[in-house]
Amino acid sequence: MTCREVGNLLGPFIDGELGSPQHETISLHVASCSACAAATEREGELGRLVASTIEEEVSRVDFSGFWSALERRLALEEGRVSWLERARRYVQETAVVPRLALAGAFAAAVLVSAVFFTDDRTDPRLKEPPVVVSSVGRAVRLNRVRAGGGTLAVLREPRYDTTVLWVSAEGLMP
Amino acid sequence: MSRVGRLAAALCGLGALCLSEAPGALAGGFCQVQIESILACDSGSDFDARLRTLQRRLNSLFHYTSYNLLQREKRMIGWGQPARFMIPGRHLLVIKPRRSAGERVAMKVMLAREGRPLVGTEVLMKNRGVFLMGGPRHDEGVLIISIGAQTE
Repeated sequence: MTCREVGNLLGPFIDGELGSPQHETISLHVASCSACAAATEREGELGRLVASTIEEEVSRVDFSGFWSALERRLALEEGRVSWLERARRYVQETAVVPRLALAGAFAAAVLVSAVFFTDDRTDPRLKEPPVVVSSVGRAVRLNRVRAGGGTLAVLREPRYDTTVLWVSAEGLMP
Repeated sequence: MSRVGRLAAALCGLGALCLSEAPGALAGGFCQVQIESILACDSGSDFDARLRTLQRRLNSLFHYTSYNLLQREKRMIGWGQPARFMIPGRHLLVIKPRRSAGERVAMKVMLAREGRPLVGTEVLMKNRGVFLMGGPRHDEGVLIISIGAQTE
């Protein structure tokens, strides 16, 4: 395996997403290649940065309104929607996951706001429906994605390593 | 040392402490953020020449037939400072660069419409990288917002 090939797989390697044979191959390469070892260390630092970012307190300046609005809508929604409607939504939520997971080719993540999930449609003009994955591209990583309502999808187009955060059905917000 | 001298020394020490702990001190103090608001729709077949650098990405992701740049704005933002960008369709985009490390930039991003938050997240992206947000309806199409960040 070349350094370039290793470099392309470093992100999944560090995240533990590779299968055993590939993981072992890269481990051996990294152990004997100082350049790749350094690159692995840099990626590790990146992971620690992500963790420290997550740990930081949410800034009141940016998001205080966001959370209070979310909580207000949650309370409104809970009070207004009948149990039958909530049951229907529950079925809708649980049914959508396997359907999305079958979409295969497109590396993407779907994150839904459980209470506000009122519509499982994504924009039909997106080339592929979203599927569930555990991480997004190497060029861009997202943490703590929060939706104010509707459906939220995180899509990654692998050829150009482009990440898109897609918000749909905004009209369904109360 | 006189009282004034002690006060001056204390202020200098406090200033030095603040500077040493500011994340931006490691990366030139500012992050350059470029926001491009794009209208994607199915009427017409125009591709705005100003979006040439994004053309491959957009075409590989979406089926829209036309893309037009509505607005482009570039700002230098201090680390830890929130910046607000007015986006067409009464949208507000808040960007808060947090820090940089190596070739990465961490920032908070929140998109709201008419005071209602649509989405918020923390993004870690490559220096000079681009991240897209999209989906909100606008006119006859949807908005796609390109967010680019660059440090020294």
